[in-house]
This record gives sequence, structure tokens and C-alpha cells, in this order.
Amino acid sequence: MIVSEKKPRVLYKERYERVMTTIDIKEPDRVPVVPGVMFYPTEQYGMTKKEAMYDLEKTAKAYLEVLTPLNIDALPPLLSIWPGKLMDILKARVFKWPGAAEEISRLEDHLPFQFVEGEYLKAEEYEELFEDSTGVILRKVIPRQFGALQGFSEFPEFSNLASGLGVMFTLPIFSAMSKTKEINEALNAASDYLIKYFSITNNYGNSLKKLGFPLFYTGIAMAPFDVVSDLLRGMRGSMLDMYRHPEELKKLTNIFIEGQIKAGVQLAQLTPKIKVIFMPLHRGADGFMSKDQFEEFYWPGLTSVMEGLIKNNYIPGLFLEGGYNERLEYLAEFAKKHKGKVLYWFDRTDLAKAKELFGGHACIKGNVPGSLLNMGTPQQVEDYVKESIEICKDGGGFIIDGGVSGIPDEAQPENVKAMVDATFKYGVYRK
Amino acid sequence: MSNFIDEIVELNENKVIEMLKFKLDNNEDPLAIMEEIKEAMKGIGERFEKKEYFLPDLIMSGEILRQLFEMLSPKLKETGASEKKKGKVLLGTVAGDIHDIGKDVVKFMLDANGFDVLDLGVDVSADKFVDSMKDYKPQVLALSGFLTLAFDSMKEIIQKIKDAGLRKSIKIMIGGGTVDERIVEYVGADAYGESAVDAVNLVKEWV
Repeated sequence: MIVSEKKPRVLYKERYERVMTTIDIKEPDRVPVVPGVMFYPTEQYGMTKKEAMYDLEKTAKAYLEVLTPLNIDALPPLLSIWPGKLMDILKARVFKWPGAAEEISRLEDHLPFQFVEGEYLKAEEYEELFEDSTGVILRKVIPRQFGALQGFSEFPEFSNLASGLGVMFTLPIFSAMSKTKEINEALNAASDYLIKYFSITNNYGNSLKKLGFPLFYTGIAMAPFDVVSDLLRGMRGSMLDMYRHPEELKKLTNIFIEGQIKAGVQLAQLTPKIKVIFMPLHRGADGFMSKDQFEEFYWPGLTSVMEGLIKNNYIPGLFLEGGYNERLEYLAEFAKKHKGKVLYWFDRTDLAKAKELFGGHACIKGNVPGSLLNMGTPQQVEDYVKESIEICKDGGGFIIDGGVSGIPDEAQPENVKAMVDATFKYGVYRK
Repeated sequence: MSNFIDEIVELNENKVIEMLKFKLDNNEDPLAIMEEIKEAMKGIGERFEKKEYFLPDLIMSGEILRQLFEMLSPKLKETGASEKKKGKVLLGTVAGDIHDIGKDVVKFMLDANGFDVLDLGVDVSADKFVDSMKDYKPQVLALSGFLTLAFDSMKEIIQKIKDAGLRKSIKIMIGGGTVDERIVEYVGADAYGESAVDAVNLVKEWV
């Protein structure tokens, strides 16, 4: 292959520029293909999902060995495989995952990790939360979400700590409690683990660069409503709140705007590559809520985070899982205000309509269906990619990827190859 | 006094509960009240079909109906009446998948349309589906899944149903986040539904 004869440094630059030019809504030499993945590489490498989450060094190797031969234009980071060990150390209750040390969190080895929804903040705690959000999050929410941090429920009143004696007596007493010792041990173990974890992710990023591949997506941020709905009030709770506590719900959502901006940027700074921040959206999709509800509860918080990221010179990369055909006007409005500063990754959304509405302003990524990559033929995949490129190619601003989570874990390798090769074949703007 | 049915459909929680209390205090016929509630459920289902109602509204209506049934059921038991359902549907999220949103919406809509639904919950194994089919004897099996791994779980479940000699006696529909019409043949189902409304239409067609 001619491509692989080039030096990795040259290839890196070419690929980086191809992707950046595309995001900037200009035509590069070719439509980039940047698939997202979760467990596809580790499955191909013969690892169980448990092994992938507990042996990240091997996972990194699997990513490199399975994905780089495809000659795609950028590789995904390791952050979509959550470290099982870290979740064990903190006794996470908000997820279930394969191989968890505690039975209550354990799924079978071949299953991916999944969220456990619940009311980690109760409706009757709203008022208390607004009076003292730090206190309620520390003493109530965190102990419910993480078993190893239950001791925080006894954290002394902050007001007591302001007097010198409070610090001299109250804090050491808190610190001497057995539950607090468990917190200390867990956090120390988590810190030690994270040092190893970041060295693995950094090595992964460096290896990629040496091989000529940029890293796509650096940090992660969420829509504030999703933070509330996934991890605090639960979907049921958050949706009942729309009726019973609408003002409180909005106020709670707003609390998470700044936090999501900071979290996204902070993680991104650790690995300064292609500056797109991954924003997987959950409840915004068609069918979850009405337009009015979307406009009142979801969209304002989300756009505040997106604007915050843009101000920090990052590109919010929304993963619009499911269909967003009823939300296109909102996406268009934002894109028109922020030309070349936003990326929309679509799953079951009509690409032609998206291209028509805001193709000149926002980069579109997607959307080869998971069912096709898993069960289709290479020819069907090629046809789908060809058609998508015909629809979206003009003027730049289009990246080929799978629909749901990119390449599904169970995808057929020949179909994945067909997706990439079809992009090379039909995506050329100029030789 | 405003219309009880309309107030339920409008999801005016406090008002509706107050109205039911009044009705019960005035010894209104519990069966007649039940009919009104059923009528309201139909109205809510229609709004969902027309895309006027979405998940928050369905969840809220579920919450209101739960409270109404709690208040009404002691009186209903006194009458000793039992209601006839239109048909039986067995429902569950398939093995390996713990997502329940889509499944719950389908359950609500089938309930609202007068079908008897047995919900096996999430992460349901092939064996459990087969056993429940033997006990419950549904006419329709509804398999839900959000993750792509659900394709293979559905396939396995339907295979086990075939192995148990039960395939011919049942219609099978599939649905959920990543499922589309391409999956129907692969897993050996009869049909795919894009939405809960499709699910209701399929059951109506089959039963």
C-alpha cells in the first residue's frame, strides 16, 4: 500500500490536518474515517470484557494491533473502557460491570458495563441541597453512589470547622472513625491506581503518535440534565420532577454546568491531541421528551456546557445516540452560531436532512448502522458508505463512523474493513 | 365539577386524587370509576401515539394511576368482579442487557390498550422465557434490547423456544435502541417495532 510507505510523522500530520480541516468545514484531500469503539478491538484480540476492563495494558495493545492496520485517520482513546479495578476500589454502586469484586455489582465476564439508575438524590432532599449543595453531595449522594465512601455520611458540619477547636478536635475524631479509614484506604489505592492508569493511557497516546495516528476525543463532558437524570434523580425521578418539582429540577441542572465544563477541559489537558470533547447524550433523543420539555429542561444546560468548552478552545463532539430527527432545528441553531466549532455524531438521524440544515456549519459524523456492521455483508456496508458520502461530502464537514457507539463490539472484521476501504474509495476530494 | 377522565388525561395529579376521594366518599360504583380510569388510560395512550405525550408524561401518568388503583382496589375487591383482557403478551429485556426504558413504555401502552402483560424484567435468560411461556401461555412474545449484544441473546432465546417446540404457538416481536428490521431475520422473529405504538399495532394484528 502506498500510504504505509510514508513516514509516520508525515502520516500523523496528514491525518491530523485531514480531520481538522473537515471539522473546520473545508474540503481536505479525502473524507476522514474515524470510528469510535468500545470492546471491538479487545473482542477481536480474544479478550473477555472483564479482561479488557482489568488489564488495560493489554486493552491498549489490542486497540493498537486491531485498529492501526485499518489505516483509519485517528484512533479513539482508551477512556471508553472503564477501569474495573478503580470501580472495585471505590465500590461503585452506580454501575454494574463484568468481574466486579462485589457480587452486587458483578455481571458475567462477556458483558459490557452498564449504568444502574437510581434516586441517589431524593426528591425530598432538594431544599436541603440548595441550602448546602456541598454538604448534601458529600454526606448523602456520594455515600449512596460509592460503597467505599460511605463514611462521608458522618462528615462534620462545616460550620463547626470554622472555629479552631473544631478542626483540632472534630476533624481528627472524624478521621479516627473506622469508616473514614476505609475512605482513606480507598482513595489512596485509587490514587496509586490512577498513576498506573495514566501511564498506560499516555503510553497508548505516544505509541499512536509514533505510528502516525492522532488521538480523537480527549475529554468527556455530559449534558447537565443527563448528570441529574443518570446519576442523581434517576430517569423516573427526573421526569416526575418535570411535573412535581420543575423549578428545583432546573436549578439542580444548572449546578452542573460549570462542573462539566471544568471536568471536560481538565481531562482533555492530560492528553492534548485532537481537541474534541466527547459528549454522549442520553435523554435528549427523540421520543424521550417533548419539544417543550427539551427546550425547558435539556437544551439550555447542554448549550451552556458546549459554549463553555468552545470558549476554552475545545470542540464539543456530541454523540447523538438514537434519533435526533425532531431536534435538528436546535442543533442547526447552535451550529450556525458556532461555525466549525462543533461536531455532531449521528446514529439514527437522517444525514441528508442534517447536511441540508447545518452541513455548512457543523461537522457531521456517522452513521453506518450497527446491524449492518454486525450482520450485513461487506457489499451492503460499502453501498451505505458510498451513499452517505454522496449525500454529505460536498464542502467538507463529514466524517465516516458507525452509528451506535461506532464499531459495535460484535462487528464482523470484514464489514469494518469494508467501511474504511469504501471511505478511501469514494471519499476522495482531490488526489 | 370538571371531568374526572379529562383531569387524568391532563395529568393533574392532586386534582385527580381529590376527585377520586370525593367519588369514593360518595359511594360511587367502583366498577364505573374503573371504566372511567380505563377510558383515561386510552386517552393518554392516544396522546402518546400522536406524539403529544412522551416519557415524562407516561411516567407521571403511571404514578397517578398507581395511586388511583391503590385507592380503588379495596372497593373493587368488594365487588368481586374480574375484567376480561384482550390477549396475553410476555415481555422482557433479553439476557445480558439491563436497560428497561423501552420495555416499560411498551408495557404501559399494551396495558392502556387492554392487553394482559407479564413483564419478566431485565437480563432475562432464554430458559426463563421458555418456562414463562409454558406457565403463562401468551399469544405474543415481546423481546426488548438496547445493546448490540441483544441480537445474539434474542437469537438464542428464539432458538430455545424452537427447541422446546413452542415456536409455532407464538408470535414474536423485537424492538429497542439498536434493533432494526435487519435483525428480524437474523434472530428468527416475526416482526420489528420502531416504537411502542408499533408494538401495540402488531399485537392487535396478531391477537
